[in-house]
Amino acid sequence: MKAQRREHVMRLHREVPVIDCHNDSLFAPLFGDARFNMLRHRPPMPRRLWEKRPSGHWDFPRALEAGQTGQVTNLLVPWNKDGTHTKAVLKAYRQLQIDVEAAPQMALIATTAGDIECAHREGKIALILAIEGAEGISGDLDLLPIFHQLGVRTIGLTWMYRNPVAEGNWEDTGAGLTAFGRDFVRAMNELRMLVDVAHATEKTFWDTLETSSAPVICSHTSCRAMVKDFHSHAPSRYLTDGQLKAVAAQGGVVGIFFSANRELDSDEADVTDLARFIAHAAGVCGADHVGFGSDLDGGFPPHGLEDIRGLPNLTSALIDLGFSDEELRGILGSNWLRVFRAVWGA
Amino acid sequence: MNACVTGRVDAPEMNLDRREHVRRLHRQAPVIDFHNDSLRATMDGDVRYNPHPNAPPRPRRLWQKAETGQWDFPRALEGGLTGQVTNILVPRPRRGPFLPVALKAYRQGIADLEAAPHMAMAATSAADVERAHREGKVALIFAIEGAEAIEGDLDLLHIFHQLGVRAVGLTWMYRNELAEGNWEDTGAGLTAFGRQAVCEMNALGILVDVAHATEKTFYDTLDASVAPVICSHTSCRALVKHFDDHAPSRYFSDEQIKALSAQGGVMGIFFSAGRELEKRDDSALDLARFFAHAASLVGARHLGFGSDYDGGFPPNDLIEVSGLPNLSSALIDVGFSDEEILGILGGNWLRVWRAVAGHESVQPAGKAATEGTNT
Repeated sequence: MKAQRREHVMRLHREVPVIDCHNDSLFAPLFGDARFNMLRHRPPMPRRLWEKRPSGHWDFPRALEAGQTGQVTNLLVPWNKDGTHTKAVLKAYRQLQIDVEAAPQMALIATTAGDIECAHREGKIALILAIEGAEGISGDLDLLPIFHQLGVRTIGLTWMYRNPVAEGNWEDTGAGLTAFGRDFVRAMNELRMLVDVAHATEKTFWDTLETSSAPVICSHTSCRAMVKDFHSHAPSRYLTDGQLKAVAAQGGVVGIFFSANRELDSDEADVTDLARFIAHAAGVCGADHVGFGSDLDGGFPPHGLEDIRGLPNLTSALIDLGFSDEELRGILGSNWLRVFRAVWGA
Repeated sequence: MNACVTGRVDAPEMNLDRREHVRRLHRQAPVIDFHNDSLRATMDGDVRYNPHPNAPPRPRRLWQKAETGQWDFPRALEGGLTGQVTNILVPRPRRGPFLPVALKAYRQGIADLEAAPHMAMAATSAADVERAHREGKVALIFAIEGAEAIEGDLDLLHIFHQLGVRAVGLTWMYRNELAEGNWEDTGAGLTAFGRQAVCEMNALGILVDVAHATEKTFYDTLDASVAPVICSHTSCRALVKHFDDHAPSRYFSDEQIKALSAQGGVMGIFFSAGRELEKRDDSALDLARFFAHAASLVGARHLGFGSDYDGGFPPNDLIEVSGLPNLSSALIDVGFSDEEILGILGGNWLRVWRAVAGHESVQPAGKAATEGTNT
């Protein structure tokens, strides 16, 4: 990147808190970089997020280098179906807390939009707690306020699978929200938690938009219209143009995940290819309803974005595609901040 | 002076002097009870204490004065009680997962506190209890009875601490990952993980509670803990004539009472005497004799209340928490001095809590955790 362009990009990253609405980096302290292990002859070692390490996609020091502020981080819900999800989620929460306590000069846990702005001023990472899959609350509405009390601010209704609330896209049989799922969405509205439809089936998606009295987000998805190969995902993992418009019409924001190789059926995809997905979404639902939903440490980012330090390359690619500074500030973070504030109330 | 103990809850015939004496004691310092099971009533209703056997038990809320059960905020205030350690229940043995049930019980308590901020508040420190006493409120202190709730993971102990849990009973009736409970006493004690957990509780300033522990668990815990250990609800084995279906280790031997006290601990005596003494018309005076026995061994500074309301079988004139003044009066009758009684009523619990918590001003680690609790 030329010096002038670099200056332009970093100025944008300074002007607004740069926010990413989904990563899986808590895998690292819990299990190590099982999928992204550079040293394949060794078993993955747990790594702490306050430590700058060559493996994985994301940690506090690398995020700060990239000029990032807000990171919605996923309290991982495990694959199994043995009913230990709540325990796993609370354990992931504690692991994150340990890392934040170890590096208070680098990171804080944010529960309001104001906290994120405060972190931005102080040059820190603001971690926003999310649960991906309502299994995490064990199908009990009494547990929802406890997670809110602990600081969780957004919940994805499903991960891959069907759960007591809804059906996930991996096993899309055409099912949507359950009756309990509708109660769940209303309870989230009441607690002012952000409802996330990433990984939802199409029926779940439309049921949720209809049920929720607040804007709904899709933290990490991409544009179905551009996808050439769905790999092992059901098409519903990607939003249609109609779905993109519907999220925006209700005041929500769509996060585009940092993956383009798989979708374009190419090993050569780079940040410019990824930027085209963002441009498509912006063309469909407006640049003020699009943001980042990287899925780092859980997805397959393109060339030029091997880890979070490549984020300025993506910003630069967006400049190349003709986005104005105003639009870029929205995509980089203001759009997320707007919907966070609207739903959380602070 | 014995007229106070009448065996009836609605007409405690205390003479005026005595009534005034007791009232003064209850006003002077916060009265604290270290164990009840009332959160069960919010989930399952008063299964065992339902005066209407024809109607199924119905869940009740603690902010409402009920005709069933033994404990709620209004009756606690009538009884002059301030601090109440309330038990987050673990379900029957080996029917995990335990964690969601424990969290649900916790939420019931929080929800009732939120519904009645003028009557009750959550307390996470001794100072909170003193504040509640000044404001005339009930202070609810959360405890876990049976460490099954942490499902063998010390990370979850931290989470419960952040939620406000300040005492953990290592076992309920059964054996778990930490230790063996008294119901199935096979002579086993703390596991290696149990020792780790005790150390972690010491570090967090959580009170380690050996109620329901086997004798081996008891002595292992005293050995493992660097802080004083408490027993939230037990009684004196030496006086028990009939153990019912309990193992003798449910009751402290004289040696255990001495060992716990020697380490600075406090022993809560549960409000049950009829069963133990094989006496039908038991009264607060019978119960007071258990306090007198323990005091004859270690003095009054190591005793407190551990009523087991909504989980036990209190004497007739103590059948609900509003009868608490009858017990204070009985303690006067068996010869305790005012100073000793103030200790038993709450001073001893506050002292041991302060000693174990150490650094009272330290807030729970999660900033967000404190934010919503005190609403």
